[in-house]
Amino acid sequence: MNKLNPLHIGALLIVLLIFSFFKLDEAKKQLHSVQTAYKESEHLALELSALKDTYGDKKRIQNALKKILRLRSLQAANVEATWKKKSVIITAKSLDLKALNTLMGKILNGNFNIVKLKIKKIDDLKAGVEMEIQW
Amino acid sequence: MILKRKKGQILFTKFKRNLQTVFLDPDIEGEFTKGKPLNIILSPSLYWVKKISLPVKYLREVKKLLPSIFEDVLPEGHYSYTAYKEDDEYFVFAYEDKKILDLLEKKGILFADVKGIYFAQAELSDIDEPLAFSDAKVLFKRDDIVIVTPKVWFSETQPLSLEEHHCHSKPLSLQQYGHIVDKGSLYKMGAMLVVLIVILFIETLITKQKANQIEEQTGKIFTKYHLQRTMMQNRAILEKYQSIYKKQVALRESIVAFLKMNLKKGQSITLVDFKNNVLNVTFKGVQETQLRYVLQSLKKKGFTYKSTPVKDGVSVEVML
Repeated sequence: MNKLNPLHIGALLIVLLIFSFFKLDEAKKQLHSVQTAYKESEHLALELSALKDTYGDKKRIQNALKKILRLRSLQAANVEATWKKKSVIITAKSLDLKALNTLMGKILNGNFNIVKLKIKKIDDLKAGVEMEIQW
Repeated sequence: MILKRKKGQILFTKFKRNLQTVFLDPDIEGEFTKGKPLNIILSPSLYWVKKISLPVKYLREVKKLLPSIFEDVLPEGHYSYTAYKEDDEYFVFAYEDKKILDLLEKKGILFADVKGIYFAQAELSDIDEPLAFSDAKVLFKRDDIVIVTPKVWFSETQPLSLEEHHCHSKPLSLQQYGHIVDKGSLYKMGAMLVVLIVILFIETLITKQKANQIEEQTGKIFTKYHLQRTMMQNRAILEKYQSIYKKQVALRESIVAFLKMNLKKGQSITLVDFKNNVLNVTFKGVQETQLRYVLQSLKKKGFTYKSTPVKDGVSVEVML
């Protein structure tokens, strides 16, 4: 008889149900994947942003260094700065102990990418300093 | 194709194949060609029938009452019910789907070949003489009900011939699995499956929507923090900055470790030189043994170092 067999309809519904489960599982896996990607991106973005601000922000670094070099004790000590595109070279041929402490205290406690540093004792009261800071 | 001539016009009434019509009764022996479509007329021995008058207007109202109409007369079994109206009276039927299906199978008739199943009551109600369908049984009408009676009751009978018969009543639909699961349960199961599918479909949509929203948010992060297009590029940049951070921390920790040393009179640091990730510190008037504590602390922090005696002192090289 040309009548739909209820078992065929049942089988079709079960196939549809399995297909729906499969699609849901796929969607959940996709959701998990995008959630993981989101978390990773967020974590990476925050960390990268913080590190970039610290070591890659040219303006911030230049302003901070200029502020240090404008300190009275360092101005008197004739500290020179040679600004380049990607770095600055700071030199002082003869720094007294106080100026040396001020300069190194500010530089080492600040967030600067020191790529070169040379402190050479001249005598018991003076030292020569040369350093390069990159951004 | 059946054509009717009416007032000089030819009308196409309906398209019909010339189907073989078979009378189905447990007592009839016969062979049937498989794959050939046929109509079945059920013998009265395969159903229960009553002619009743009911104070109801519609057939659907009668159908609701059918199980109770037959409940006192039917032996135990899984019955289906149907009815049709003739004049002001109703013919009500009860039949066992499985019994009919089993008989079809026993006779070698494929259910797929059956185009329609009809009651003898509906199809052969116009008989006016006993019609023999086997050596022992005849179809006979009594009080408007078509019944099966022994042939011996009649002196004269005519053979039942369905060659020219065209079934005209409404065919009944047999429930192939009605004896396993009743119709109600099947509907309930089907409805449950449909509901489940709909729920899963909705959940899938919601999940996909959530995923799209998160993807959008991820895109916003990339814009907000000016990230590169691919995560690989961003990871490489992050690694570069992490390396700078580690080296700068190491440089400061190493310098602090040396500056914390208690130097005696005549002892001093003469040179601090850092380049190419190597820190060189030169001491004057200091013995290598005096540096043991500092060097141990550097070692604990994971730095590799090398100390070399120089003129009037010692030089320490720390790899950062």
